This record gives sequence, structure tokens and C-alpha cells, in this order.
Amino acid sequence: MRRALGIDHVVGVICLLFALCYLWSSRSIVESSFGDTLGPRMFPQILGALLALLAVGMIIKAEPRRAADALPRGAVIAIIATVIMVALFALLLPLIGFAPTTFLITLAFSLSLREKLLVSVGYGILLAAIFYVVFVILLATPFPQATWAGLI
Amino acid sequence: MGGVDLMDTLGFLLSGLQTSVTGWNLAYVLIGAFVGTWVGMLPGLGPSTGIALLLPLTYGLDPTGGMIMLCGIYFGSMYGGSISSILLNTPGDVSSVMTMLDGHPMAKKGRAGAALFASAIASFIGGTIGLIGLTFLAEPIARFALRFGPSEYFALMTFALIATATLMRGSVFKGLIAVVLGLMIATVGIDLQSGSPRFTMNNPELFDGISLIAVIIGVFGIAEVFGNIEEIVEKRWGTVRTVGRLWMTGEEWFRCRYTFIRSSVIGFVVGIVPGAGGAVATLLSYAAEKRASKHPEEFGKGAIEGVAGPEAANNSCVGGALIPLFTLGLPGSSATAVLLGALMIFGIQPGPKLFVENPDLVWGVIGSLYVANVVLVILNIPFIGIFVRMLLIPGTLLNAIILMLAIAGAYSLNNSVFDVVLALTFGCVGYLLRKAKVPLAPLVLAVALGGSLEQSLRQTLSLSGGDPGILVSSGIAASFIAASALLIAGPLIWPSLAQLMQRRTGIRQEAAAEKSSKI
Repeated sequence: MRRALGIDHVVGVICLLFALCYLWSSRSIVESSFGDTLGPRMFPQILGALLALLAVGMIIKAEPRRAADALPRGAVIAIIATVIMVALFALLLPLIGFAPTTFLITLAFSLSLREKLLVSVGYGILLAAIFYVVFVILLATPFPQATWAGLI
Repeated sequence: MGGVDLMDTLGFLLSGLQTSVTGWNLAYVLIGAFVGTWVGMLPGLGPSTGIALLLPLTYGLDPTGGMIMLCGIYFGSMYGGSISSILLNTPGDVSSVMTMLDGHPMAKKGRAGAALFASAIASFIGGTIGLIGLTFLAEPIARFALRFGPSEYFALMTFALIATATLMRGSVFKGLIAVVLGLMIATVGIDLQSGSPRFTMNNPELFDGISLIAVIIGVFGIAEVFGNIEEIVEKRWGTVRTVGRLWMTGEEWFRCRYTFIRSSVIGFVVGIVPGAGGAVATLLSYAAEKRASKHPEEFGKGAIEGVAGPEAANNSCVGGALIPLFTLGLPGSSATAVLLGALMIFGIQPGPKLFVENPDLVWGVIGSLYVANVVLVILNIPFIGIFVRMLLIPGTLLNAIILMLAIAGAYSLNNSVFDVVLALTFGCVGYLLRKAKVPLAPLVLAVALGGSLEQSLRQTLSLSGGDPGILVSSGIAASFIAASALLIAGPLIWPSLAQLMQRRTGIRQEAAAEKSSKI
């Protein structure tokens, strides 16, 4: 009988893999001649080993998945959409500036949650305006200026 | 000598009060208190996220002004967290979970007004007692802390991390995983003692390490939005109940007559212990009030002491928690961890010398907390209607605001989009961990303390030439290490004892754990 993989299994395995990658990466830490007795490598290695052990423990004690744990499709779509959008923000910002980017992100976020188009546009304009005023005007945060020229 | 110290302390306090009402500082208190209440009230946003998201507002200010505003936000969010607990059955933070157990049933019975009023009064009394404790105990503790060497600091920090990992509900295992993950995050960057780059993958943006605030914005802000998305899609986004009259009956006052003081003391003492914060304070307060009450069967169904107690405790806990923060640089909770991050951004090094080198800052902050306390109780009672109306913001708009705040806040840390990507990454990580019921507060604390922890370990071992015995050589160090070991081993070796204790306190653990599994 196959046991359903619960979230504990998944996260436990991810932690284990992460611990192993971390330990692998720690091999390239340069030990220096001066400095202290413990050195820069020891502490990370202890941590990596600890995490690996704890992750194994978590996998062993993990419970199988229950029906109630499943996420509705709508939520999964909206979350993935948000992740993509925020990542896009990082790319879009230097190109089109802060206010347009805020507008687009808010619009996309709202649409992914099934709000009507008009409402989403409204939210987008509202937030773009408020955030522009607060962050760019009031706080003078140096956001990159839109480089429309670069696109033309 | 005792008499001179007392007068000195009062003198400092007076000058601090004066600082807090001069010039812009008073405005900062007011803004901080108001915004903090609003943030604390929003479902899912707690003091730590609130302070982190609003940190950019303080960049242009001087350190004293900035800290004043941030502490105003901290205090305000303690007041505000109870509003969403009572009205929406959604705690803003782990400190408001216990308030929800009796506050929401009271709201359902139409007694929301009484619950809110009790919570405001309790918060005020708790806050005052906590502040008085802070005023008089901070300096003596700071002087005591001057004797601490690296091995004591190591032991203390270890204890703080283990305490946070084990004292929350849920698996000790997962708490420890959270701590180790946080410590690993803290190792990224160029090692200060040897100059070797660690885990930087040749990316210059990582040379300085991963910013604590970026982690918090991701783990508490963005992950929270993801969690809220679930609720919006499933149409579980809360509805507001009508508030009713804001008053308590004579009988309710009578029942709470000792609650205010008792829970405030509990909260303050718990707050001082590094690693034990609002969660433990409110839990102990609830248990104590239930034990002391003549009507314990009402708890969980709308007992007013169940609201007044935890609210007093979580506000007095602030005063207590600021002591290890200011005197030792040791945060005891996520919120104080963010304050630590803020202090570092301002270029201030907390520790025993803070009182000597920067007394204006410390006493200015303490003075303004008194002012904030008064402002908050005034705001909360007549103006609660305004706050409640703000809860009517549709969930989609609200979460869009939080998301944008997170993005803009992360960007303005270093004016770099890299931090936004970092925050996003930690948002995903935090969300996954939350689903697996891995607590996030220990992770955040570990990120805050990781660097110092490793540094004190290495310093200690250098002093002893590699002999680990030095770690338990002093009384203080040994006792904290022993306490940490007990906290880990205890529930594992004596699971029956743990179960017995849980049944004794008789708290609806599942209900509380269910709601606070996010935290």
C-alpha cells in the first residue's frame, strides 16, 4: 500500500537536499592561516550535519497526506501568479519605472484573484498613486527612472 | 548608593520624557502609535512584520526619532492585534492568539464592546507596569551584563534560540530545524574573522550577507499574502461584527480586579527572558487566570478575564523584552529581532555600553513609550469605530497593499532589486515551512543572532585554545547551557510529563495551535 506523501515528507526531503548542497558548498570555504581556532568552515559544517539529521528525523516522523490538506486550484494559480509577478517586478522596474510597475502588479494580482477587470484597474491606479506619493515623493526612495528611450 | 541610583534613574526618565515630546518626536510617537494599531489590527500582520514593512519610513530620520517611531509601532500593534482577534477571529500575531479564545465568543454574543474595552484597559495597565519595570531594571541589568564574556553570550544566545524553538506548541524537532535553517542563512557572506567568502556564489550582492529585514519581509509579509490568498479563494476572508457599547459592567470589573496586575507581572517577567516572548507570556497568563478564576468553565466561551489577562501580559511583555534588547543586544522575539536590525541600520550597537554611550536614545525611547501608551489608550477607546471601519477594506486590495509594501520595503533596504528577489524567495520558503507547521519565529531569531552566536563561539574557543570545556566554565554560562539542554531533552524523555502539564492547564491547545500554525 503506497503511503500518500504529506507535506512533512516533501519539506523534510527538501531540507535534507539543502543540507547536503550546503555541506558540499562548504568544502570550498577557504581556511585562513591567521584567525581563530575554529575557523570559518567548522560552524557551517556542524549546522549542515545537524540539519541533515533533523531532516531525516522529520521524514521518519512525517504523517501521510490528508484530503483536507489539499489546496484549491484557484489558490495555487494565484500564488504562482504572484511569484511570477514579483519576479517580473525586479526585471520591469528599471525599464518602466515604479508607478507603472506598481499598477501592473496590482492589476495582475487582483485579476488572479478573480476580481472584475474594472475593479482591478481601479485598484491598480489607486495603489500606484498612493505608493508613488509615499515612496517617491515623501520618502525620496531612489527608484530607477523609466528608460522608455531604451525601448524605442 | 541605592538612593543615588534611584534619583539618577528618575532623572534620566524625566529627561527621556522631555526628549519624547520635543520637536518632531511627539509627532513620531503619534504616527507610530496610529500606524502600529492599524497594522496590528490587520489580520495576519503582527508587530514584527509591521515594523519591518514600515522601516523604510524611518530612513530619513535621526536614530532617536526613528527608534521612537518604531517602538510606537511595536506598542501600537500590541493594542491593535486584539481588535482582529476579537472581531475577526484572526490573530494578528502569536501574542493575540489567546485573546481570541474568549474575545471572539464574546463578540459573537454581542459583547465585542466590552471585550475591546477590557483589552484596551488591560493593555494600558500592562504596558505601564512593563515600562516601570524597564525603567528601574534596565540599568542594573546592563551593569550586571558588563561582566559577560563571550562564553556567557554564547550560552545566553543558545538558550534564547532553544527556548523559542521549544516553548511554542508543536514539534520540538521542527522548532530546531527552524533554528538551524536560520543559522545557516546567517552564515552567508564574507566571514569577518577570516575574510573567506561563504556561500556567496560569486555574487557581490551576497558579500554582506542576507539582510534580516529581507528575510522577515519575505517570511512574514509575502508568505502571509500567500496564506491570505488561500482564504480569499476559499471565501473564508473574515466579516466584521458590530461592536456594541464600549464599557464593562461592574461585575466584569470586579472579576478582573487582580487580573490586570497579575498578568502584567507575568508578562513582564516572561518578556525579560530572552527567547520567551508574547506567546509564552499570554499562554501563562491565560492559564493563571483560569486557575485563579471562580468560573473556570467559562473560559473558552467568553470569560472576560480570558481577554484582560493575555492583553495585559502581551503589553507588559514589550517592556520586559526591551531589556535584553537594549542591555545585551539580545532579541527575545521576532519583533525585537527587527528592532535589532533597525538599530544596526541606524548604526547603533546595543549592549551594556548603550546606556553609557547613547543614553539620550535609550531614555528617549523609554519616555516615548510612556507617551505612546497614553496615546494608545485614548485612541483605542473613543476612536475604535474608525479602526473597525478600516477592517472593511476588501481582502484583495488589502493584500495587494501588503504585497506592494513588502516589495517597496525590500527594495529600499539597499536600493536594489536583489533584495526584492531575496524577499520573494523567503516568501516561498516561509510559505512552505508554514504548511509543514515549522515555526518561523525561531528561524527569524536565528538569522538575527546567527552571526553573533558564531562569533562568540569562535572567540570563546580561541581563548581556550580549542578546549570546549570553557563553554560551561562560568556559573552563568553553565546554567544557560544546562537549561537549553533540559528544554530539548525534557519533552523527549518525559513525554508523559509534557502531556500531563498540557492537560493540567486545560487550554484548548488544538484551537490555539490551529490558528497559530502560521506563526
